[in-house]
Amino acid sequence: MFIFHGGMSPNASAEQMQANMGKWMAWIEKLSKDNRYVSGEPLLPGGKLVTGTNGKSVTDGPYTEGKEVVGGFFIVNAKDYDDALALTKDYPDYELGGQIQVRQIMKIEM
Amino acid sequence: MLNAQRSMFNVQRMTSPANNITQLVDHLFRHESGKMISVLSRLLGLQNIETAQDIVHDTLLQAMNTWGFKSIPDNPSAWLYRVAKNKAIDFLRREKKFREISPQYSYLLQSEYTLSSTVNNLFLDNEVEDSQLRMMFACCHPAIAEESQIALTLKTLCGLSVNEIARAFLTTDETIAKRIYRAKEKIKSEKIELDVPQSNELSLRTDTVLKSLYLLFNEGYNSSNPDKLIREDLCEEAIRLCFLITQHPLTTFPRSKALLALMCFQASRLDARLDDNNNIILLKHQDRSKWNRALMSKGFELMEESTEPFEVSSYHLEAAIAAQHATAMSFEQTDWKSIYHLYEMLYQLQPNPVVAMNKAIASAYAISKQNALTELQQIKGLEHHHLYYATVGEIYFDLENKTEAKKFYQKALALTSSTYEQQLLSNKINNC
Repeated sequence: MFIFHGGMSPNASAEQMQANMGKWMAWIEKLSKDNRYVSGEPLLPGGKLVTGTNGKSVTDGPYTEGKEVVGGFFIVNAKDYDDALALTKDYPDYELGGQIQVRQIMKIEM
Repeated sequence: MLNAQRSMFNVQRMTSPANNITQLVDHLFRHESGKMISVLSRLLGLQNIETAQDIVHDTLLQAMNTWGFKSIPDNPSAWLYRVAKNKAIDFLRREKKFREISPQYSYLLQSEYTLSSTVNNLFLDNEVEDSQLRMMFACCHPAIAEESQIALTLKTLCGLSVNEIARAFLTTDETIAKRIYRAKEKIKSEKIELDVPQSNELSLRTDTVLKSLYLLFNEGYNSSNPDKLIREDLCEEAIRLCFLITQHPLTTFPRSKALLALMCFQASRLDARLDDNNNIILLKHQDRSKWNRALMSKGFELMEESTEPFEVSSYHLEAAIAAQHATAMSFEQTDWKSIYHLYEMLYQLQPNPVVAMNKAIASAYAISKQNALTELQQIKGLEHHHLYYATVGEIYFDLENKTEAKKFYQKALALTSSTYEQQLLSNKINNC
């Protein structure tokens, strides 16, 4: 699983947004062609944070640094971490300060 | 027009890899942003232009995420309009300040029954064009300073960011932000709304819009900006907006068409005008086979249309001069007599020293070098203009007066800051 943090600045121009979108589509298309891409979703900013006993405290958030906010995720097929890391090469947002967290999804055998 | 324009400006960009995959029209976000800001400002009132800009920005952000992760919808523009509409309706429901928001539509927006249909109607094709036209009148309102008019036009109608405008004008973000701020202050203090000027005012107000588009085009065409794409972008935007003006029954004056014709002629030479290092190649040395024929013939077509009803504007004359160059097989075979005559007429309409200088240059080929020299010597007001001294030097050189030529080249050299021109002038001085 690729978890995306940060990326496009909220002040980006229309042209930059269109260019960035093009790069994401190219990346997804490449991953799909190699049968690596399983699914993915972008996340809207904002959200709620539920804490406390019985989940009694609900606050707006997470309002942390832009970089820590999760902007979306992909699920991809990979043999191992090395294989998965190789797929992150084309992530379009490095130059915008974005980061990827690479995690392995636990397979639950029933 | 649109096809010719596309082939002219977008050939290089179509081959970039990102565009093959996204299959989106170039600048779709930017242009749709200009359309949506115009429509939403009309709905919410121009005083709420910032809200309109925020809604549009959110809409594009949502498109970027959704399309980037999933796929591009069949009709991208309709998708954007739908999202922007819904956001606008949400805003209106939330704010409930209808009377302050949109004087013209407040009544219709207050009732749930008519709210959606009112918003929907404004997003119909012809209404979108109408809104853009109204926005052009607002951005080029005579109360707003010229430099601010252009900055505001680029920001609202062309969807450029402050940073992109600053790069185009080789200035700082702060300067552009200030110009836009001042324009918005004027919108508030003068209570400018997105109205179509009354018929008696319409002609004059159209002239301010045309002037602003003319300046915008020249900014792109004559700019010393080292980035070729930025220059082409400015020319392209000016052409796009001028095209809109000529398409609208209210503003399709002969002079609007003449200005568009002029832009087509000039733009047809954009590719031949720069060498591999982006330095300007003078008309004399341009490879005429690189001129864009499609744009040239569009220019002639528009010139033809601009003759009725009869009027003679400076755009007519400038377009006619550009047309003379376009028809000439070579620099030497140019009909300089006609060009000189057109400059004489232009000078009568606009007696300014730059026109006088161009007239003098034309006379060098139409009459004689000696005549050009006499005309040049009579010009006042170009004392700080390096091109003036370079031109005088050139004429002296052609008259084989190398001592005088050298003097004037040296004056020109002292006045230019462009390294390319400095180099060019140094070479000329060495030849004297």
